[in-house]
Amino acid sequence: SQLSNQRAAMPNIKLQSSDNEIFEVELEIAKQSNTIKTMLEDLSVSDDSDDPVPLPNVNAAILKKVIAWCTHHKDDPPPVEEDEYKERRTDDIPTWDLEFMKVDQGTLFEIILASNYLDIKGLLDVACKTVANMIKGKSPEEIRKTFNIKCDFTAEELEQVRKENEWCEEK
Amino acid sequence: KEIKSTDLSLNSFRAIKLIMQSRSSNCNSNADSSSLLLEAADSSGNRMVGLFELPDLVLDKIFSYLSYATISQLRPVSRQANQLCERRLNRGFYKLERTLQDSQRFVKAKLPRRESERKQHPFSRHSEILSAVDTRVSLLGMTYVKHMQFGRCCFIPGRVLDELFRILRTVRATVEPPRAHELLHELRDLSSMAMEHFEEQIEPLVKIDAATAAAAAAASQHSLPVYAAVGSASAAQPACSHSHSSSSLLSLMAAAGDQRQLSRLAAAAAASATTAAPGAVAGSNSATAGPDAAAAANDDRQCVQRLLGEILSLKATVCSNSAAVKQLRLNLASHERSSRQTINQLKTRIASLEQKLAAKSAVVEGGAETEAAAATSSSPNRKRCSTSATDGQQLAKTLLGKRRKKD
Repeated sequence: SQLSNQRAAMPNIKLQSSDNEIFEVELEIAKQSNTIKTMLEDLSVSDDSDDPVPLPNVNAAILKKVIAWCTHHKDDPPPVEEDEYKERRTDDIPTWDLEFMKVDQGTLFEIILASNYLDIKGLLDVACKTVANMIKGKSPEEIRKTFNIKCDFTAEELEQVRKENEWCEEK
Repeated sequence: KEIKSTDLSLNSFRAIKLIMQSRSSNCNSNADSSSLLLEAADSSGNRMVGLFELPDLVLDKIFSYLSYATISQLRPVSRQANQLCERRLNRGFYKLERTLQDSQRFVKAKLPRRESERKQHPFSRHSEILSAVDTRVSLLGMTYVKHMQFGRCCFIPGRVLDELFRILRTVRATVEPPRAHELLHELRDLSSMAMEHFEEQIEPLVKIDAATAAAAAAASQHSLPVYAAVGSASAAQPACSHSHSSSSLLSLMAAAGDQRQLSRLAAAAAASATTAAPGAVAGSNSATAGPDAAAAANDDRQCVQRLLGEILSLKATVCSNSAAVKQLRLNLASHERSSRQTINQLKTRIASLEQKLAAKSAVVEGGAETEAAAATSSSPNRKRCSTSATDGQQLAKTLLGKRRKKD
């Protein structure tokens, strides 16, 4: 009953996906999205407002994933500004996030787009690191295969790019 | 009051809707831009977003987790990948210049003004390393930046950028960095390799691209197509406007190099048969502009190919003609020399003959006087006449001759 009381005390907000599904989440969790946070602050929407916030760029499946990530990371400290000079690592993704990102490529890109749209820095960072890890150590042909990209170079253009890059090849 | 609050709530709801929709349209700006991905669909039949269809900001973020070496290796993936990577590499170089300047300013502010004190300062090694890095970056800039600015190529050696950033990070983060030659050893090797390769292998082709682009631009100023203008240059009496464009082409080609360059030109012409020689990279920018633009680009390419062919044949003719002219000049010079020698010989011969003639006439006059004297006086006078043996002999000969004539 105490938990239910606490839950009752937590103000909630309704989020409406592009396919008109409505999700009710705690305001604090939703505020991890800077877009939602700024919007609520700027428009001084009251906490007890019953109108759902429309998210026309995020479908229900992706919004569910985003809410799951935000719920898991609700107690995280606010993200700090990264040092421009510092080397950026991609091997520091937490285990839970690694598991969370084990999705098909389409979903991963949708998560990236949603986190960019909702301005959730932590989620965007993790998703981008995951994509970077998918690129690292692969040959151009492997990258084409991984991301389903068609090579639209002519043979001569490809040869030119290859020639430009051959300066550091071991002979 | 209730009505008012409902109005407010409705208004805010509309505002939220507007904000979210406008944000969604901003975020989608990249989504329509490309059709380079193979059509892929998820289970629900919706078209999947491709890697290079992600917004620029997101791609920048992804690329920020990759080394510049990896980015340069991504270039052959596709044209769009190439464009993105080239942009990223160029920005990397400019960012490096800014970072270096910041670091130099920071270190300079810490160092004392006196030279003697500066050498003892803990930051002296930092300063030494930074000035060595500055020299290397200047060299790299001189090699690549002019071509980068014209969009002819990008900052190709991503690995060099990685190495430079590594050094700057080391200098920034370390109290006592290693000695300059130790820290910069790898950079020296890599940057030298990159610049040497660029100057020997890439720059000649880039220059030709630039020349053909300039030629195409020059030709586009005239109403006739490029190849017509060049074709008229080979004719005996070209029209005024045509001759202008063709002469500018020839001067451009002459600037690009002489006979030695001709083989490279030929190679470039062969290579650019289908490549859009005036900047394959720039050409690829327009590839996504639409079918009309692509067709126009294709036409331009064909024009440029024909133009290149014409230029090459003209260049070959000019080269062979100039060789013939050179040979003729050499022949003429040798003829002049030999004729001068002959003239000199003749002059000396004439001079000697004149001397001889003068001597003979003198002898004749002297002989006449002697004969007259001999007729009047006796033989002892002959001793005086034959003072020298040669004179005597000559005198005898002349006397004999004269007597014979008299007889």
